[in-house]
Amino acid sequence: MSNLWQHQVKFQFKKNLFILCILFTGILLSSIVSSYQIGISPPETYFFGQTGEERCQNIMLFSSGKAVKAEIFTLWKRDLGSSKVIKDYTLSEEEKGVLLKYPKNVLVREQENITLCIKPLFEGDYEGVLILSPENGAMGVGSWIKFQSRMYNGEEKILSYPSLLHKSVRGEKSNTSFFLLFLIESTFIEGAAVVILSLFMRSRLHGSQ
Amino acid sequence: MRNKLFYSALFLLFFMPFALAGDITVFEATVYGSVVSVEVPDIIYLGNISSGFVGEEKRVDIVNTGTTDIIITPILIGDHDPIFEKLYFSKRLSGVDYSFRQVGNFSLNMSKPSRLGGTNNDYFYTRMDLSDYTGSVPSGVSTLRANVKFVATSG
Repeated sequence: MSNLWQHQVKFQFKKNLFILCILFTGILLSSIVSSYQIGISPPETYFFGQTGEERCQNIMLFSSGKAVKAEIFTLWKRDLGSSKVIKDYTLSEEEKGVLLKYPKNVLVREQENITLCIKPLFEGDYEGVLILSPENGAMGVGSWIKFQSRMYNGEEKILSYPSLLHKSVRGEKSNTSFFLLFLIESTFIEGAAVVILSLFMRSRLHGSQ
Repeated sequence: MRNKLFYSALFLLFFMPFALAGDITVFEATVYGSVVSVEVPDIIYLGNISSGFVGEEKRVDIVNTGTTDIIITPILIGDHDPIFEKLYFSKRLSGVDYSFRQVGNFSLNMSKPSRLGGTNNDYFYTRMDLSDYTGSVPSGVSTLRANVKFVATSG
């Protein structure tokens, strides 16, 4: 009887030891593999304005896993021409001649909204990238910045990226045409019903006479 | 009989527009804006290295957790030891994607995850090549840390 009891105790001890080993391994691994996610939205930000005029837009920063202390900075392209190769973006904001307002250091807990304000000193097209770079961690995320700035000459100048404008106009048109189609269709069906009813009534009247 | 058929047809015709109206307002969706998002490893250890030698290749895993195609570009940030300009990257260690390029000349294109909330994984290799390095190297054994950031931007 006592042998059986001792055997049971030993078995229980081994079982507990095994569970403890698994727990310790889990804790150890979780401290080694402590990666987290960071994100930025929108991936591209467009600004349009006049020289010396300040324009602002919201940029959303994300983190998951833990609160992330990060630095924010921008890099600017010297030459014109669309390129998404970061090595072409070598100038600082001072060198490029843009005045920027944004928090240089942030603590991102889940979701953080920052405002990026830009004020170009000269006329031209500006292309840059805003980079969110965590203090600890080998990765960063970036959002492309495109800015068109023109001198104010008394007339309102429309500065546009054709693709964006085209999209919004096309969207409105398609909605309008859909409702117009529905209206025509329903009127036609109701009209047909009235015509059939009147024909039927007439035939009934003729029949009774 | 004829009357029944007639009234049935009339009933259908009368209610058809309402049935059509009911068909158009049922769709609802929560639309998420595009997000560039990646999983961040804390540190990438390059191993032991000495002047005149080529370091071991280390694999760097990247996880795209966003909603857009991304380009990963390694860049050196701020003041750094010139030794880190001798960092090289290659997508793979064999085949057509085998080609070690110096920091600044390498980028990796990654497509977005196939479903919302999913991930897309890829990797590349990095190594330090000091075979022709003529700059100064710290004496003795020392650990150098560089601000090499792998920046993810939309593709």
